[in-house]
Amino acid sequence: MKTILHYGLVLLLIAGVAGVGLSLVDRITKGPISEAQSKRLEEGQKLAFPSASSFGELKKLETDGKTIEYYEVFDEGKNVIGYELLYSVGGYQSRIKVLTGIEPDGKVVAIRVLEQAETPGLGAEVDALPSSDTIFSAITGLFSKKEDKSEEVQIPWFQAQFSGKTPEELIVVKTKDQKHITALSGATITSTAVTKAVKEPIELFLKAKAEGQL
Amino acid sequence: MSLFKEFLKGIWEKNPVLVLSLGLCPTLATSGSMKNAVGMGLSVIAVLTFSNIIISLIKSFVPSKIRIPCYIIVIAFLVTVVDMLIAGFAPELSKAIGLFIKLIVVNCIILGRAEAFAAKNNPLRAALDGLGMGIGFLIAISIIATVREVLGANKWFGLTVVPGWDPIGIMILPAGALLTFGLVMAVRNVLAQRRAK
Repeated sequence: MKTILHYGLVLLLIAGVAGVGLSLVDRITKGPISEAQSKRLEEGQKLAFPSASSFGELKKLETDGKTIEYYEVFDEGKNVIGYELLYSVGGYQSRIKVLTGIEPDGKVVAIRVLEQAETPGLGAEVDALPSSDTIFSAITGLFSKKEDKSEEVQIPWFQAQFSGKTPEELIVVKTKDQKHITALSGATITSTAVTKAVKEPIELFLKAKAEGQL
Repeated sequence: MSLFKEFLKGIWEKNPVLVLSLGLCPTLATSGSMKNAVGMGLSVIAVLTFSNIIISLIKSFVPSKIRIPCYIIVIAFLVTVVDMLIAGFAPELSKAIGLFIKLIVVNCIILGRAEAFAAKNNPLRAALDGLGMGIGFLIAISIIATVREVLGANKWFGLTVVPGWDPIGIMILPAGALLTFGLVMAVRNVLAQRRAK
C-alpha cells in the first residue's frame, strides 16, 4: 500500500510539473500558432482568387452525403463574383487539402494545395516551384550579392495548370497537354487525388446550387 | 572517461544510428530530403540533451520500478514543447516535418540514452552525452539524406544539382532509404576496421 502511494505520488508530481510547464509554453506559442495558421489560409485565399477584394465567412454545404466547406468571394461592391471551395481527399500517403477558387459557372480561377504530406521528390512535387535555381547558381548568387528576388509569390507549376479549366477538362493525362492536367512524373496517384479534390467539390457545389440548396 | 570523450563518443565510436542502430524509424522516414533531415536532427538534439539533463536530475527520487513511465512523461513533455515552438515560430518547417516531430517521443535513441546513460550519470555528463549523440544522429541522417536527395531527386536542400539529369526515383522511396542506410553503415564499419589495424 505504501509503495503504491509513493509511486503514485512521484508520477503525479512529474506529470503535474510537466502539465504546468506545457500550459506555460502554450501561453507563449498560442498566438503565433494561430497567427501562422490564419496567415496560411489568408495567403491561400488570395492565391486561389487573386481578383477578390474580400471573402465571406466559412459556410458548410452538405450534399450527397458529403460536406463541402466554402467561402463566398466578393468584389469591391460586395457582389458575389465566385466561390472558394475547401475539400480534402486521400492521396498516396496523406490527406490532401485543396482550396479551389471558382467562378459562378464552375470555371476554375486558381487552386492552392493547403496541406499535403506526400512522398518527398514524387507526390510532394505538387508544391514544387518552377525553379531554375541550381546549387551552382545559388553559390555564385552568394558572392554576387544580388538584391533580393521580388517578393511575389510563385505558383507551383502543377497547381498553375488548373487555372482557367472547366470541370469537364479536369482529367489527368500522362503526356503533356495544354487542355488537361499533366500528371507529375512518378506520382499519378497524387496527381489524380489533387484533381479529384478540385473536380468533385465543383460538381457537387454546382449541382447543389442548381437545386437551390445554397 | 574524460568529459570531451563523453561528448565525442556519440559522433563516431558509438554513433546512435550507424553503430547502436537506434532511432531508425525517424532516420528512414525523414532522410528523403536535406531540409527534413536537418530539421529532424536539430529537434532530436534539443530533446535529447534536455531529456538527459532532466532525467539525470530526477534519477535519485524516481523509484526504479516506475522509471520508464517517468522518463516517457519527461520526453513527451519536451517533444510537445519543441512541437509547439516550431509550429509557432517556424511554420514552414512545421508544415514539412510537423508529423515527424511527434514521432520523437518514441525515438529509441532518447529513451535508450535515458535508460543506459542519464539515469546513471551526473547532469553534466548526461548533457554532453545527449549533445554528442544528437550531433551523431544529425550527421548520420544528413549523410543518408544527401545521398538520397541527390540521387533520388537530383536536388540538395531543394536546389538542383546537375541540370537536366533524370534522377533515380527509387532512392527517394523507402527502398532507397534502406539501401543507403546499409551502405553508409558498411562504409563506416570499413573505416573503423582500417583505423583499428
